[in-house]
Amino acid sequence: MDFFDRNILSIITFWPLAGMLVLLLIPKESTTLMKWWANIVAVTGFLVSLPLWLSFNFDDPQMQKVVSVPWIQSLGVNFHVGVDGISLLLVMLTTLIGPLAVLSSWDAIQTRVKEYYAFILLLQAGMLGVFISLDFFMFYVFWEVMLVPMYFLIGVWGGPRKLYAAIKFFLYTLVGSVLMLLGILALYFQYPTIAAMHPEISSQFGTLPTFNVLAFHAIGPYLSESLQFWVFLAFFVGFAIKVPMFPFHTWLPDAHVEAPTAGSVILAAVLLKMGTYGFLRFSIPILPDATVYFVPMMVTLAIIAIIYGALVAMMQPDMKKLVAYSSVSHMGFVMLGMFALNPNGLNGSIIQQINHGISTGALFLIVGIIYERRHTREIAQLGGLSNVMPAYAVVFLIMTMSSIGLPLLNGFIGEFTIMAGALQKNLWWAVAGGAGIVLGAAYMLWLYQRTMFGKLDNPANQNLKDMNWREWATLIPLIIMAFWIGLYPAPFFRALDKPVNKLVEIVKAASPPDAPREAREIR
Amino acid sequence: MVAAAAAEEAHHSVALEVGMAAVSVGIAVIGFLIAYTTYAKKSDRAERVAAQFKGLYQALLNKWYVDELYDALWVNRAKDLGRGLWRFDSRIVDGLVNETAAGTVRSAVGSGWWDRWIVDGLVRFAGGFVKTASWPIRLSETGYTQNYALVMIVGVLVLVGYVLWGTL
Repeated sequence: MDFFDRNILSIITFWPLAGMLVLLLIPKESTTLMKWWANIVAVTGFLVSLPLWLSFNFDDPQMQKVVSVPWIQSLGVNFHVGVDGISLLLVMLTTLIGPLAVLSSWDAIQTRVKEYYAFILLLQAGMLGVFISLDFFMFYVFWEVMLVPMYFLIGVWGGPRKLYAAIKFFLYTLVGSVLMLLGILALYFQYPTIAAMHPEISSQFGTLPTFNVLAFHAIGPYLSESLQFWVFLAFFVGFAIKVPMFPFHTWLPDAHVEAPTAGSVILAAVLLKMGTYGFLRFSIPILPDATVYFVPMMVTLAIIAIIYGALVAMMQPDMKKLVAYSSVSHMGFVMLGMFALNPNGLNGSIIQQINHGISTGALFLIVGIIYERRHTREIAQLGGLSNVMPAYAVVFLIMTMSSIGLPLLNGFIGEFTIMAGALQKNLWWAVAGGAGIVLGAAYMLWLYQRTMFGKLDNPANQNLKDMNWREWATLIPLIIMAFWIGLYPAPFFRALDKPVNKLVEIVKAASPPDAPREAREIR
Repeated sequence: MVAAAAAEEAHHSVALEVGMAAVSVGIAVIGFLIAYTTYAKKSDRAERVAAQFKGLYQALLNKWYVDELYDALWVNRAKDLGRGLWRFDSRIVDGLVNETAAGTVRSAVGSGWWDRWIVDGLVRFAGGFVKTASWPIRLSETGYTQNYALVMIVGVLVLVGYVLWGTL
């Protein structure tokens, strides 16, 4: 038990990978066995992650469950993992979404079953690795590793334009991550210089170049403003593409539309969060001066994304593309809250990341359910479905409301907190955000009206079957989460309290920008 | 209107209040009777009135065109904006991405051409030049021992001939 507790992060991360290796040994003909095995691995992957939540100390602001083992010593690379409240929530989100995505593929995937489930499990391990890494080199490895299975998921099991979408996704992300790597290397080589001048840093993290994220956090306030400026921009490109922020978002609708349902679910629910997580874990704490300097740019792009994404979403004829563009709008909210840089804004931003994972993940599952039956996602082909699929209509309605931000559901908590944070900073930010909420309600309700209500006049829709137990099973956990966060979000805010305060303190020390640098304490 | 006026005057006198109530009930009853005789009894009054006050009738029928006004002012403008931005998104924003990709392909084709015809061209030119320039020499380099022997014999004969010519 002690071993389990100490290495829980590694176990959570490598569990799907181990499951994948066993999966590869299953004979090619036994597809049902493969499906069962992949589902068992994914569900136990979630169960294995529960003790992390239960044993997490919410009052401890430090990284927890830390393990650091030398990996490539000559380069100063360690296998270094640990979580705080922010990564805890994202790890839990990932382990929750994983089994749902796997289960949703049961009927949808009929070709190359083994490869498919192997890639999903590998993807799961890659994403978890990203969220637990405290070594920048390791983070980068996981960040890139995750690209490969996603590339194949889109490229092999995708729609008609799958190759275009897969290559676009891969290259676009790669361009960003290579720039990010340059930023990482700049910090890596800068570290010894600053550590040499500050014994309190060198005594803790050594004098040699390192990829230790905590060491980077320590040297952050002493980095020159010009270095911060350039590293921030390098990180910005990497993370903004992933989020995606306007104008780097166009890979997203293509990838979402072409990806199989499970791919879209994981893409929306977890992959996008890697970008926002990057800002929270690296850009803001390591580069506080640049963060403050770039607030106007970040907020402007966020607001553009909110309104622009919503308007473009409104006019989409394809359900999946509509949800994809709504992601652009919602992630704009996340970025707006984050760069309000106050406790409300940051709390709301992170809660909204989880909410987006829940509601948009669910919406993609919902679109997938109708696609499996009708092989079309065109809104004009649907209509009146609530007559034949009443249960489906109810679930869709709940998730529509969750996405809009109706009180009692999760979206409201996130949007409300973000709006509070934005309002504290600038009235107009909140006004722009409010406009986005109204537009969000407009496109979602309009979508719902056109697909679920009205006359059931298309003969192809007349004998559609309502949801089966498997589809229920993929959506019930998300419905429970939506209500849980909507009714009692306290545990989630409690997890965020300490890490968010830490971020706020770091940024506060950096602003106003003309404060004397010597006065700053190391945190 | 009547009810509001009655409320306003309420504190003045009870008689007025009762009177107002009676008037409003009376108006309501008259309205009820008109409606009853127009619609419940078979009568063409409804059509006649509608034809007589055509404009008013249409305006009332369409709820003063508030929905249409609202659509024209806001809903359709928002849709236009959405459509316009979508076009902008796929043509300009995504266009730039695709243009970058196309540019990369073009420059790859260009550098492929350069590599094939200039870089490798120089190498092949060097080879070709040597090959061409060596043509006359190569003619003699046949690889057949008989040929070399023949040339040798001819050379020896020529030399011998030359020497003999000198002595003669």
